[in-house]
Amino acid sequence: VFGRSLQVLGVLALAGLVLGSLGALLVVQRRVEVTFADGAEPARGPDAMAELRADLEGLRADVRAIGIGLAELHGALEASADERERALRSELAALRAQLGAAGEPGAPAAPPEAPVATSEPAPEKSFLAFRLPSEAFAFDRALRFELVSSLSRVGFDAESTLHDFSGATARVAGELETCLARPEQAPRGEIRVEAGALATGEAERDVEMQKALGVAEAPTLRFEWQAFEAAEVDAAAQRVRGVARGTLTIRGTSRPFAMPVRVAVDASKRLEITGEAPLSLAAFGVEPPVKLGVLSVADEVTIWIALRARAVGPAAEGAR
Amino acid sequence: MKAGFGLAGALLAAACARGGALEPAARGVAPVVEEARTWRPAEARDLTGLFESRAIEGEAAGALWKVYYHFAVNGSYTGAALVIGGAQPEFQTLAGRWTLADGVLDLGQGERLAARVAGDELELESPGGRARLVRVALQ
Repeated sequence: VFGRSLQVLGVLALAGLVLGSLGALLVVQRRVEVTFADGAEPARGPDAMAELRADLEGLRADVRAIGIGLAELHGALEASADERERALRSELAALRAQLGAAGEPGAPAAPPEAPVATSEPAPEKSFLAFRLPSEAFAFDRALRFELVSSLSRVGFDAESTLHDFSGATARVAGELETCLARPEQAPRGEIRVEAGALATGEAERDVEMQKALGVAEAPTLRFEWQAFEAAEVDAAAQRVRGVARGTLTIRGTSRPFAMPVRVAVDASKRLEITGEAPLSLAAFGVEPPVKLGVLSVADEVTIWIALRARAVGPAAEGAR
Repeated sequence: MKAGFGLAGALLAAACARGGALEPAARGVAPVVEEARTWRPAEARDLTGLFESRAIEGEAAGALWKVYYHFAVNGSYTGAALVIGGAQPEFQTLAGRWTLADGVLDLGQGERLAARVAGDELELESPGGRARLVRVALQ
């Protein structure tokens, strides 16, 4: 509307100036007086031709000013149209993003600058007066979980010449993505353990163990979870049992690794994940410590996990 | 040679003192078990102040990470909860007026909560879950 008004104003201004010019010509015409006199009579009054030239010069200046004004008006209209087009494109992108978030098939992804709604559209439950998303935690929903480090521990059991012993640490972190009802469907995750924090309860043995694990060069033990073979999925009891497969990295050496695990849901809706599996230290380039050629640790140890993880949101698209 | 036997002896002694692998049942880290407490129905004077959740159980625990409540003496309250379920956890806040009668807390949202106290702890329970909160000193 603004642009159209400017156009109308411009046309009216042009018409007014043209009419004004015609009026000026009429005035000039009236001021021109043709007289016939003999050459002896001296000229009297101002020079009419000079006045006419001055008026024409004035009119030319006015016309130039009108031209400049029209050019400026055109530029302003173009800028206004561009700005409006940008605003409309932005609104259209935002609408498309909202449609895409609502599950519209084929909807393009939202541009980075477009605002995206972050909350569930229709919370249904309530607790302590807070509105809760109806599917925050559900056994049959693909979710992203984070390990609760304060409630998690990983470790190993080893046999030595003299006795068996265990090493463990709570310095464990990681993320998992899975649907508990369909754990074989694109599970993924990573568990990271601070190797230097493994403790056996004996300082000297810990030092030897850290040397064997090459803690200085490879401070993190890492398990990348890539697949799951389900043996039992009990939705009613909220339990899952099966074999987690992936890649284990110790001392910078990565090998395929599988561990039978059990998953349960505790009273606070946290996953409780437990499991154990044998592991050959030599397969990862770890030399079992030997003391005095007599006291030695067996090559095969049992790796175990006792983790708790909390749902933090929906899984990424690949794990759904 | 003597030193070698000495070290072997020390290791043997240490082994005897610290021998044995962990039992599978002892591997995990159990959540803090609340000591047995004597709970009583809450009275209005028990609620005034700031509370922070220590544990949430039940269905609601799947969506609530943390809850804060401030109950004012004049009957107003405000609360904040870290709610999950969307793309990222987000804080939800609310405010209203509270009433307490016969140990039942009404937050004006149509939900009646059993309110019990033991020392500085406040327990709120409804069919949706149970929250254990502890009084927090203003700093």
